Amino acid sequence: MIRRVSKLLAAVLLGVAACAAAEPARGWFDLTPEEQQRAWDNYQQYQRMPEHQRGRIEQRQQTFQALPQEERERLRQNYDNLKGLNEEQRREFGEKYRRWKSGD
Amino acid sequence: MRCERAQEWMTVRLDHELSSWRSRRLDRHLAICQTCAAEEVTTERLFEALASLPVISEVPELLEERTLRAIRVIDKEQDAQRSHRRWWSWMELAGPVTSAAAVLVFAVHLTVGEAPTPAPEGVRVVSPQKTATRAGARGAHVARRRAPVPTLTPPPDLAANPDLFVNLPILRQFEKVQHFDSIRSTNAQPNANAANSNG
Repeated sequence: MIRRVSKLLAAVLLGVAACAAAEPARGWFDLTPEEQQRAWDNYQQYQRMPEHQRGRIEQRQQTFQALPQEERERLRQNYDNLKGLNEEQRREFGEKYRRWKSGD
Repeated sequence: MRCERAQEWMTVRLDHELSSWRSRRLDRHLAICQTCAAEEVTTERLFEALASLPVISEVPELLEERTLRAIRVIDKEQDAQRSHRRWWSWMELAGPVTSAAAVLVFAVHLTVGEAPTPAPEGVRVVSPQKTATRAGARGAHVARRRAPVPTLTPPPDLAANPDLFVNLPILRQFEKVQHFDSIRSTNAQPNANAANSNG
């Protein structure tokens, strides 16, 4: 009996861990008011994007959603760091990015 | 290079995501293709104009939807006309941007400048102070205020995947964000060999 309960508990814990790794898709009403505001603003920006760019964004969204929680947090943190760069740092980062991208 | 590819790369470059050698290829194309060069100027202006439009007051959802719909309709019409009159496209794009700005200014005038109008059904009224402090503190109320989130159900594609839109800025800069540390540790100055071999 104890063994069976232990197995059941282990299975439940594994399930919980798997669910925690992948970000569950949220509905509109799961968002906070701030997130809803941001989503509305970004939605309008998205609608102005060309079709091929939207396709790229959707692919990236799938990649992002599939990342583990810590990795997503790391990306969010990196985005905050990127956003915090001043104009000069941003220009320099752009240069480095182009060099990084070209594989130098 | 074909103009279709050049135009695709232009928007990628506006996101600072075009590699340097592609950027140089694009520049070479723009140097010889007046149509694409004009297109690039137009696209840059449009992006700048849209980015610089201030959101200074709440706009009724109906008005906002109509405006966006009108812009989309005008944009589609322009796409059709562009193949016949590409050289005139900057004039055509200036129109909707000016119209959008005019509509926004008009909306601001309606909502901030004059007596308060009843909010359309489904639009949340955010600032009840507006009526009380109208005469004296009008200037303070004109300060940047974001459009409120309508309480109505959002459009289907927004409702279907709201996280995509919440995370849109991250997704736009995805590669930079993903490899932020590697990029920062890259040497900014190319050495002579690398510059030569980069062609």
